[in-house]
Amino acid sequence: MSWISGPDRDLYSQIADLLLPAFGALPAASDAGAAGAKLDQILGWRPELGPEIKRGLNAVRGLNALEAIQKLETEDEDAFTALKTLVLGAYFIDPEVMKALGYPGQESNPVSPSEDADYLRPGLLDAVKARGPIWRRPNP
Amino acid sequence: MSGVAVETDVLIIGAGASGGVAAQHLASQGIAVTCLEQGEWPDPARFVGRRAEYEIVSSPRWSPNPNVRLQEPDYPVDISEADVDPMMYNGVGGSTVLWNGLWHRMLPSDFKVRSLDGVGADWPISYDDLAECYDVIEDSFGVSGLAGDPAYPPRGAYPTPAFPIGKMGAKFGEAMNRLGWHWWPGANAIPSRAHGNQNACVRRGVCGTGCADGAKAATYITHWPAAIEAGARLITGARVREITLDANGVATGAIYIDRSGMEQVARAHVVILCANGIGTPRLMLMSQSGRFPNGLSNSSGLVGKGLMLHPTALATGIVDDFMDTWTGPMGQVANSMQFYETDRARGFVRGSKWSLAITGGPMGLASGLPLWGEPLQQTMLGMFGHMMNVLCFAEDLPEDSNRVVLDGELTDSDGLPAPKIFYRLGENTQRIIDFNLDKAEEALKEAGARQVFKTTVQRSFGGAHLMGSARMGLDPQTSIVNEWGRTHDVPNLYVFDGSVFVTGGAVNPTATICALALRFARRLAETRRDQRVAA
Repeated sequence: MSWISGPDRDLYSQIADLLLPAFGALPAASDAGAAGAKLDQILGWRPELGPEIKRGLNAVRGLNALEAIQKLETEDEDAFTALKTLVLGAYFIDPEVMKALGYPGQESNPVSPSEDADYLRPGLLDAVKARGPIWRRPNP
Repeated sequence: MSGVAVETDVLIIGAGASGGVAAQHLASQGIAVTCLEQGEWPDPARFVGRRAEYEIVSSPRWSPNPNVRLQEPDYPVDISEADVDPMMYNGVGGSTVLWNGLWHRMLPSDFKVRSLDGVGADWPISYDDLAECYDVIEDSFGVSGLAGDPAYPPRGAYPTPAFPIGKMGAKFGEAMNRLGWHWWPGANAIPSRAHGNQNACVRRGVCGTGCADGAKAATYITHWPAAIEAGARLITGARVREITLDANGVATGAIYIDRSGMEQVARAHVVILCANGIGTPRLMLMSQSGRFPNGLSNSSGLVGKGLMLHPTALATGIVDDFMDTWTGPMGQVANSMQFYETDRARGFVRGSKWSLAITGGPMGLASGLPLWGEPLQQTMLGMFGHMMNVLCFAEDLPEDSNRVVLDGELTDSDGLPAPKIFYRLGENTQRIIDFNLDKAEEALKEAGARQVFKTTVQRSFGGAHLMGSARMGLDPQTSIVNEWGRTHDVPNLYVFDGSVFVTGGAVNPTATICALALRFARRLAETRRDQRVAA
């Protein structure tokens, strides 16, 4: 079952684009697929968001996207948060968005020999050591 | 109720940090050990850190907050009278499954707070009493770090080298040097090289949702396999509802509810509570009897009182340089103990430890910003990869008004009373936080931050450290357990977890929890022939 279908989906897409519009190198939410198949995929992963979003969309049916956001933000914080979470979740896994942010994802990145023990470069810790111990010794 | 399901020498309640350490040591000494754990073994294949959609799928399943996670083994915690949310995980490994592995020994002064600063109470043991236990625990946890830190007494090399500090760490260190303030590369219970059962960390930076790479120390990796190899028995899906006593007030074991909902009896010569600083007092308060109408071993009336949670504040600096602020480990890149020890001229006693930490992925940042539209997009481009986070951990003093009680209405999935916590920031704690946020702002500006956001203690990121609710001491009227973790009131009942902390220091407590568990377990094994048990 999809929590968002028909006209609600169109409204959702418009809301998503207002929440995350194209800006600089960042694409708009719908151009990043945040209102497409990823939507249902994420609702499958996060089913607890579904009822909140459904409730929110029901409450703003007939409003335009801007009115809908303003109404939810002021009158139903939980629904607004769920909606924003869904849009953000779909948006930030899009390759174009990640590229625009310079973010490769949480990838495996073992320590390389060139960066190993970089804190030992001359001068960096010498000043700390030169000041000597700063811990307090309790009386026996 | 069915018959006796378990007969053992030592019954441990809880398979987390202290339970794992105790089980391994006691089993290695030939003692029959059984552990009852309400949760299950973690399945690393179910951790989400390797998934591209990691950020969106990490909550609620892998939230450190049991009230968000709401899994079957969790019990809810009533936080209606608390300033912060407590964090924990119920399962084999306990909260080490989801911790970030920041590693600190307590300092010598932390054990003598009353003598030095006139507040709290002195521990009945000293840093020197624990130093060798710290060494052993650090080896078993594959801790990475750099020896020679002048904030600490001299010590030997860490089991594995400290992780690189990268551009962000160097920027922080150089700024601290210009200010003349202490800093040091961070120590973490995350090995930078393969160590024992642990793989070398690949710096995926997802430690807080479970390590799918098998690197981060968690007792389901570091201790339980060896404990079981040595003969320990671990029963999962076993939720204890009561510690039982005989007519002489000697512990006889426990009654627990198994996975099918049936009550079972476990008989033991010794019972050790390792259920964390909230779970342990909860269980003691649930174990009421004619001898102990107000809860087990509670003749002093102090069970549950003195709860400490290490409230944490955050200073975020925005710098021009773009840095890989998502590269792990999630623990700490560097720390500062500059404002740790008491300086009364600051207007408070005790202090704070700072940790410089990575900031994670973009969704976490965007979710926390009260923005949408172009302001959100503009902020993301300006902040993501440009942030330096300094976490300020404050020492909260033991106050009886901060406490764990049984909730009158809320229950877990087996109908057992949930804990309710009362926790308010004391005036001294608030002063520590305000002072350190100002100092962290100064440090970040020195590091080149064009903007600094200061976030004082918030419900959502305070309360990861559960301490002090069954404190240790020599006087039965002012403490629950003695210097060996044995309760004053019941001769064969012990508490080995963070509940026994007398004061909390301002450093992450797991090193001390585990070192204490080892010290207590050694003593129990050495004196087992003198141990009084039920007839």
